Amino acid sequence: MQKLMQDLSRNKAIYLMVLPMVLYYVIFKYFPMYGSIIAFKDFSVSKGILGSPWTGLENFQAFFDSIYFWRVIRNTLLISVYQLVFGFPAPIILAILLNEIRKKTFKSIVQTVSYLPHFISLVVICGLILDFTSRDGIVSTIIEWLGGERSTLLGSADNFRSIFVTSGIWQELGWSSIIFLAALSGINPELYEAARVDGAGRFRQMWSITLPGLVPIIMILLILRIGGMMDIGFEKIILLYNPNTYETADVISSFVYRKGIAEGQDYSFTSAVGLFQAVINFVLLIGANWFSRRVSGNRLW
Amino acid sequence: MIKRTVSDRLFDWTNAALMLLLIVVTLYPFYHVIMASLSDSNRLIAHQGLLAGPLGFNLEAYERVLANPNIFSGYRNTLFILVFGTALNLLLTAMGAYGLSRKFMLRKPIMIGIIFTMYFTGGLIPTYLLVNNWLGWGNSMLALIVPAAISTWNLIIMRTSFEAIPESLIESAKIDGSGEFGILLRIVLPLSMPVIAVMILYYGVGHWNSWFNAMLFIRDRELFPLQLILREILVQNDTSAMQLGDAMGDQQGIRESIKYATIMVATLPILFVYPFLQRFFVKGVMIGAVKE
Amino acid sequence: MGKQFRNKSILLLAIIMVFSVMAAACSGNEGSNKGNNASDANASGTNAAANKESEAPAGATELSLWTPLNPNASAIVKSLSDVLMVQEWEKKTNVKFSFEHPTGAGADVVQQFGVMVASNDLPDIIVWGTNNIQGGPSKLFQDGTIIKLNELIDEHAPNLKKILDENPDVARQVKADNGDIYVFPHLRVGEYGKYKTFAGQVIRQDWLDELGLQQPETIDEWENVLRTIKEKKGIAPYTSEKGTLLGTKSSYDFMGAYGLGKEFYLNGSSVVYSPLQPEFKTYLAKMQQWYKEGLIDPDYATNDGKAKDAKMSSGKAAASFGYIGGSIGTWLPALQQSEPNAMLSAVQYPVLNKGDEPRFTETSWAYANQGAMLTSANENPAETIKALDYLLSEEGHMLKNFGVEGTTYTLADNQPVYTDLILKNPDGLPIGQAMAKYFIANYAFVGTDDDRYNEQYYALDTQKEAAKKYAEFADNAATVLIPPVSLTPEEADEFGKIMTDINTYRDEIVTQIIMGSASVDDIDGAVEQFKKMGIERAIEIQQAAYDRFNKR
Repeated sequence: MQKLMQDLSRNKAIYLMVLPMVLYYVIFKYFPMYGSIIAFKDFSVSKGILGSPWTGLENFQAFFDSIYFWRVIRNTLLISVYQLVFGFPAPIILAILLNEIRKKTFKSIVQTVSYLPHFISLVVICGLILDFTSRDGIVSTIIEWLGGERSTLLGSADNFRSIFVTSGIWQELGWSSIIFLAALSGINPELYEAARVDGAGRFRQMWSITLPGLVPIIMILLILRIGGMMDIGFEKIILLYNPNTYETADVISSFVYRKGIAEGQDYSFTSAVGLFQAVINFVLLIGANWFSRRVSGNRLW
Repeated sequence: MIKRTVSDRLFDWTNAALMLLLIVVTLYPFYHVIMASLSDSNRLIAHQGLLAGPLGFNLEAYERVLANPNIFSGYRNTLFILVFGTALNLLLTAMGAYGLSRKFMLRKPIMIGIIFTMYFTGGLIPTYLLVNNWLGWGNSMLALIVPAAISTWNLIIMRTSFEAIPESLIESAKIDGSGEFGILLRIVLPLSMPVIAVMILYYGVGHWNSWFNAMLFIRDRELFPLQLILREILVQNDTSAMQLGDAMGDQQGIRESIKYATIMVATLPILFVYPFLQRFFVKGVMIGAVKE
Repeated sequence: MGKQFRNKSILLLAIIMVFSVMAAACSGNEGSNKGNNASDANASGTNAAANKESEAPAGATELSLWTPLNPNASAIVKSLSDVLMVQEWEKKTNVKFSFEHPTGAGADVVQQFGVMVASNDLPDIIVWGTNNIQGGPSKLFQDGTIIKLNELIDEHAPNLKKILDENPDVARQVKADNGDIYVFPHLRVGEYGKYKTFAGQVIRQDWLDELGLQQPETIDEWENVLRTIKEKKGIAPYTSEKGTLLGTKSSYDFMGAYGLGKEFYLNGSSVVYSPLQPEFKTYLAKMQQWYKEGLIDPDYATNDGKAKDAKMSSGKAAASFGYIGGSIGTWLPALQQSEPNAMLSAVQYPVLNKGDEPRFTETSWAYANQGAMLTSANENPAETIKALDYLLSEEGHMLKNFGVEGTTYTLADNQPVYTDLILKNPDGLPIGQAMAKYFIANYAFVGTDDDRYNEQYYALDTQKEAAKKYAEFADNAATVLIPPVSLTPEEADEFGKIMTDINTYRDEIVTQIIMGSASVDDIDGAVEQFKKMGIERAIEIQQAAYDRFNKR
């Protein structure tokens, strides 16, 4: 304690500088964590957090018993899995392919173009998606060319997940590849030289040199992905879904938003759902980190 | 030199073709929007599918969009949030990042406390209640600026970049009698202009694109940022504000082109600055990647 | 490091710092303002008013008024303060309104209202359909959001008091069971308040004639008509929109033909819930079949109002539910622009067997749960009530429904006649929008309706016939529709919780069944689920409320 006081007086300026930041985190990050205890209460705004009566696990029970429980879990996990299976390898492949381009200008044009969608606002992107997938939209037209039938694609629950995941890949493909390109730039060019001397073809080089060079970063990102399995951001979901697509579109976070803010003010119940999600995420993350450390030696902490 | 084999060349061509396809798939939607926004609205509505060029030529949609007071006020509010929000972001992030790059006793616990919030959050509802009910910032710009004052990711990027500054520079400044604030202002920040540019861009784009908090907290139309106005027009399909006094027949036609023109007006600033700033964005990812 | 670079960067930094300081100062100010507002919610209302409308005449009472803007109005004005009648009204009653109009429609408005109430950032007056409020006005009263109006009306609203005293059945509708009045009502009463049915099914008459078809009366005839049109015209003939989703509590379609109300309705003197009835399954099966056959617009569940309007005005659909004024009045002229021979006509409410009388017509009560509520933030309740009551005076009634004499109407034989500014608007506005630009006749607000407005509003012959046709069986509705009952706050709370879940679930399952992604038999499982969710308790609550209403 005394040492702390000494440090405080010696580094007064430093403490003063980090104070606003610490306050920010305490107020906007830790207070909401404390506020999560309303998940165990029958919260009403007028009574406040402390004044509201405890209800134990009732809100969690209500969620587990709700007809929507399995649906939101299923949708959340399915979208995550699709994103993992299709969305995760895509930027890795792009980075490897970009790495093979010899013409510097062409490479940088491809890069510049492919990063662009990342910066377009979600609202505009979703506006475009809704427009392109409408009955008279481009996607419908292409489907018709291919012998399918025109329809309002987002009007039916069948297509939601594919549209959601595909458009996500479209938007983030280029941007997500940067981190892999960065890792690739760290690979010693002499390795390729040596491989060529040994007569290794292009695919052989990619397989034996490029890909192994990416493994550490792939592992780290995979850990983060798995830690976020239960965490599908709701912003894009709520911009794209409608009551007809809830069946396949409604995920935990959008459910929380709808039940907690949009449709009803059932704060305690939705806090319970949110807390449930946060805890599962955290457990998954720790698990993935532990597993990766054991298996590949790569870890977050 | 090793000669390129046939399969080698085949690969190169396929690769180039794939990359070209990627460019087309990425750019076509934007091209479509530009062409549609310039098109004659009645022909546009009868058209289905891809557009090679504009159908006719008509700027009426742009006139309507630019005459729309909502777009104007949206721009104004977004710029307000952008300027003051980014300024607050920089102030807090720079001070915090510098502090965390220095050695002091509570550094580690504070750092852990910050990292922890990346992996575990209080969630939407308590945060909403905090801002709306307990801080009483409902319908105020504060709700859009202050809760987004620091992004942990950006904080880490900035700290990493500050840590790369040689300790000797700072020590010699201390000997010259500079305080920590002086060092930050006169030594660290001037040396960190690239990362500051990255921060301005990241935070700026974040403010520009953000809409959800505004939807949660802002009720007064006069305070709506641009993205919320866009949501009405693009997602909820409400173009009525720009169709004042149209007879029914006209409305259907112009509605489609208004949507596209709106996208253009709202996205052009990004499209214009993007090619020039792109390398800064990338730099940010690189700095972040080093530490992670 | 070059000196120039350093200087530049210091300049840049200086600019940033200046901005930050400004931001800090600025947010500081806002913060303290907001702090005050939170402690005294009313100040926020009047502050906002003062900021927005600085031209308020000296001495006028400033009132903020929250109300969703009717589509006719939002098509032509940004805010009600642009409406001539409102400006006159302000002058006559010496108040100055600042209007807050939520954006979007339906659920969006409900959400914005919810947020507004939850954050206690209240306007002075709320004008809305109280059916939209979870728990109704009595819940708002119990929560302290709105105030009770009885004494205020006794003292300051002679016109409303007179109406309530002279029409006990109207008073019964306006009052809560305990006699409280929470809403300053919108009414259809008296000599000029007889029209109470404004909507029904509308069909392309020219196509019926062309194809040699009679107007359909029964479901079977409807099926035949729709099928023929589909085959001959190559379109999905019946359209609807997501706001009136088929088979839900907000639907306006063929449920009535099966002897079903939309939600709760009366079977004799007992309250029943339509999805629990066996007929509901029959109805769903029919809709599923129609959808599968392509008789129903495949986009019916995603269409918004405009999309539906577009389909009806361009020949992409042949029949839909419509309002005599707002729908027929816009569809027909637009349709005739491109097809001069096109004609729409109203179709009688459908029944199951030839010769049956339709019972479930869209008929409203004298008081249709619409009006103004005064919030607890209102510091000038007396002035507010006086201003609202003005709309019920002879003069105010004319102003509201007809606008300003000499400008928007003239008197002929003591009867108001709209001028050409309204009927043949020089700017080419449809009559509904022209009206909305100058006064509030064609949508619900506060005050009394006037049939003489309808008679002129329905300028087209089709509309005049529609009014007669829809009204023919209007009286039957009184035997099956539940009157404007009111729930106790506890009941309302419980009822609201039960029904929010049930309605969401019902919307989804019904839509899945009609669209064919669930089978008709799935409704049995859904009914079990409704029961688990507490539908029986909800029926009990409605029954109790209805019994109390009868005892008022």
